Amino acid sequence: MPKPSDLLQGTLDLLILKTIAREPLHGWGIVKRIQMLSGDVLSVGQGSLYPALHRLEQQGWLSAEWKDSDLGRPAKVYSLTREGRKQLERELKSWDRLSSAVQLLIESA
Amino acid sequence: MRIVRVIKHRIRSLLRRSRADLDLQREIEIHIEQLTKAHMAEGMSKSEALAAAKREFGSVSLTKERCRDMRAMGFIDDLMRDSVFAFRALTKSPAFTLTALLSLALGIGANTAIYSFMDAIMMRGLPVPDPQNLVIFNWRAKCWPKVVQQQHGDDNGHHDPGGVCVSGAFPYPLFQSVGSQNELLSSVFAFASAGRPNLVVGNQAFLGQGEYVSGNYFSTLGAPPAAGRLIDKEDDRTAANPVAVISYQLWQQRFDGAPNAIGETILVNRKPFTIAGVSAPEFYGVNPRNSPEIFLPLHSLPYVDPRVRNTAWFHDRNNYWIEMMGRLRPGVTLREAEVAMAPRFHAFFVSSANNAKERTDLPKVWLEEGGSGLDALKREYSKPLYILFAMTGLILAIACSNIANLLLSRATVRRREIAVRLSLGAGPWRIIRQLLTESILLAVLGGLIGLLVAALGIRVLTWLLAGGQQDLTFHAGIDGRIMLFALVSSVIAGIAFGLAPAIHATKVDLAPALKESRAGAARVRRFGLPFGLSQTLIVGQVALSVLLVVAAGLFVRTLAKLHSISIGFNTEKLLVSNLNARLAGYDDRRGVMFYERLRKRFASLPGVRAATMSDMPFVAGAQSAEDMLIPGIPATPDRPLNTNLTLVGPSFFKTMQIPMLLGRPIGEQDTRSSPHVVVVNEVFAKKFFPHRNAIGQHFAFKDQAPNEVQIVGIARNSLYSSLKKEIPPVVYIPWSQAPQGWLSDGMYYEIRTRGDPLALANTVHRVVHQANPLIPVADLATQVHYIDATIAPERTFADLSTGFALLALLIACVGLYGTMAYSVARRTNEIGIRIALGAPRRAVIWTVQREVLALALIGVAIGLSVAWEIAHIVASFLFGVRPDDVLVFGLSAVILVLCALAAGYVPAWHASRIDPVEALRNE
Repeated sequence: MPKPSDLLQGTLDLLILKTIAREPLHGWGIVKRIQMLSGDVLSVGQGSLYPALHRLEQQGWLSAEWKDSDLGRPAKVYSLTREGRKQLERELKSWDRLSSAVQLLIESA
Repeated sequence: MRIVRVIKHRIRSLLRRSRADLDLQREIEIHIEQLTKAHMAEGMSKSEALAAAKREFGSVSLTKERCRDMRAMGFIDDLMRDSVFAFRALTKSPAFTLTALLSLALGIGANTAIYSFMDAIMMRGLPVPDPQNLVIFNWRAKCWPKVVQQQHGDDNGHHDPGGVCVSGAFPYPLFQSVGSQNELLSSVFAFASAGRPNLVVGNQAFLGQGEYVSGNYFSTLGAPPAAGRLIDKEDDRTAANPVAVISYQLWQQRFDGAPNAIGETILVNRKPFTIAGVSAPEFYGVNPRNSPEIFLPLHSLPYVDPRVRNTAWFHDRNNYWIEMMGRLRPGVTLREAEVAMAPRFHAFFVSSANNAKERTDLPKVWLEEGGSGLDALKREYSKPLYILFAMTGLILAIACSNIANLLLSRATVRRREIAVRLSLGAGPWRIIRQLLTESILLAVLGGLIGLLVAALGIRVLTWLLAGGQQDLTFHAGIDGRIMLFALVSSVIAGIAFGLAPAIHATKVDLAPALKESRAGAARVRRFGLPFGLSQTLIVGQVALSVLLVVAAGLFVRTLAKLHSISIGFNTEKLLVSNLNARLAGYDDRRGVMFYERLRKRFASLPGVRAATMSDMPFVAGAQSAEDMLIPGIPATPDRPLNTNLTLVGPSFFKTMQIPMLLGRPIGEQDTRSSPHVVVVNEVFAKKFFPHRNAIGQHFAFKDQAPNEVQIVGIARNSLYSSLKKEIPPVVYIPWSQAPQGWLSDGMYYEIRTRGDPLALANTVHRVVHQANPLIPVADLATQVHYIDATIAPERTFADLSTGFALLALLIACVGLYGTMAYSVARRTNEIGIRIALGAPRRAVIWTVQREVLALALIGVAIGLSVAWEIAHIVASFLFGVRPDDVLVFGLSAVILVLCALAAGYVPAWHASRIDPVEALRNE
């Protein structure tokens, strides 16, 4: 199994927002979901997930509450707020710009 | 409302910090649990899985730390934690903390004290509603406009560069013609100083500061009365019942604030006035320089003022004595008002000119902002205050760089602690913030103590700056603005001295720092301290100290020059007092008898050698002058026949100990009816009778012509009005022969005592009280004190700058000592080896002192060259010393170097005592 690549700097926020846009998740769930959806290509550094969650919560893009979970005990479950959705759209747009620019560069260089 | 949510969330998490921490802890536990399960699913044993999970997750504390950074109002949160930590760190090293606090308190205190004066004198508005609408009327003209025939009062005008005279005094009829209001000014009011009238309350006589005010003065200024009512238009009429308003302070002092003071009678120069009311406690009129104690209607002036015996003086169109201020209507600018007022003023000036000569160079009206009151005080004190402020600023800078240096050495001691925190994952910014919190906490504590220093400093400064002038008041004190200033300067100081060491502290090479033993004996470089920063700070301190020492040197030399001036009479054991019999109702003839009786009484007191009197104190700024007609000598424009003069009593020359060079002194035989004689000084004799014997010559005062006086004696030169002025020609006139109207402002008694002159003060009061209880004695002081009062600014500068320079030297020496002591401690091994290898102790001392000398010399060189460039700023405060005085510069350099070597000697001596065995065992 190839080692999962490190996340591109700055894309972690986007991935978290996108992941929980589908359904509210706890920290562990987010890590698993990202790994799964990316076919084990992307892996969230364990140490950087919680600071990022805290930051996004600070910004008012996430809200969190302790709920019973599939883990068999209550976990802190994060969901997207209205502002969070707007932020997600902004992040998606800027990601589109970035990735198409990178694509363009790769093709033409 | 995202912002609201964000703030709410942050406040919540701030309040529930511990809960958030707990949440996080649980979250992480769950995560690790899941990781462990996942690993167990891969077939690991439970303990293996747990270890792997923990490894994979990484540092839990680092994650927590980073989350905390993200969370909450991390800033305030950290600030609180940092403050507690900082406080603990500070109490751990009390010596450092005390040194730093002390120097900061002195630095901030001195700055705050000076700032409160700048605030009171230059920035603060009058304590009345809307002071910004107030304007002051002035006139400007080429010096000196002929139409201004007489000028009286506080504002004697000043000269702008280029021969332009500016004055705020106007004739009363001009005030009338301007009118009390117009389309641009909602009100124009007038006032004039009443000097210090003789006030009697009950049977207590005293002198008080008085002010004549027009009927709309109080209503325009808008300060409400503290009791009763204020003077209004009805009171300011010729035949009105005389009423007065007293100040809150007078009310408290003389009436104990009793409400029944309203309606009481107060005698003003023996004329009864009814007290109508009391002005507000904070109200001090419009002149920040003084605080009137009694306000009288303008029209009562001819009734009470001894200078004025008729209303003609009051209504004279060429007599300039009242001052005027106005209040602009909303939206009107100063210049608009000035332009609109100009024709009205011009018309008056034209109409008041009596001939063609007077019509040339007519004054022009000129308005000034009046929000902070009359600006005489500002003119007089703003430059000295700026200079003092700059000096205290330098002190604070020295204190800051000193503390920065101490912090540097502390940071080196704390390398291990900082390295540990850095390696545990704290960001450098976090460490910097922690260290900055420490220095700002230190600075704020220093600032608080500084406020106490400032409160004391303000009292000392008030006393120094006023220099014994009783009527001079400053309204400086500590209020919210001053506290804000102290706080802001503390925080700025804290950042200033804390930032560089803090940044420096985080640039630690972790591995070697962690390996250091707790004792911290490793040698990082040749010097334990970072060579550049610490040494630069020391050089800077020395250079700044040089500036202060040079300034002190210049001011002290100025004072010494002033003190070394030969006065020409003996100032020792000479008591001077002032009293005014006319204010108590004596006319000239009875006054003469009263004064002479009193003089004889003084002369006969035990402990008194001689007593005399004069119409002015000497070398105290007072002067009077007259034009003369001298037979055979025509007056020319470039040599006007003008002389200074003074009226003196019998035994004047004997009391003052001014030797007669020729002829006889003035004595008791010179009476009203005897031939009129005068004594002149040498300058007079040489100037007007260069080739003749002046004795026996006749001349007349222009006023009194054709009545002539005869010169009967020539006295040796002695100073007349000022220490700093050349001795002018002076005529001494027997006061018993004074022309009508020349004796008005009271009499000064000079009493030559055998012992301490002030021991006689009570006796003088008693004698005068016995002679007439209604006459108060004023300005009772020694002649030396009178002279000192005239050089108060020079003395203030000399005293303060000496104090500042000593302080600067002390702080710089402590800094130097600390740095060298630290450097020696770090070099213990090296020095130990040298000694072991046979280096003589003297050589060791020299190694350290060479370093000190080098730093001191660089600092001195920089300081001296800066001083050389900027010394001219203080030139106008010097007397008899050039701002580039070589002696002062040379001495300053020597003082600095000696102080530096003294500060360096102790560490150097310690270095030479190092026991090589002990030192090497440490390695």
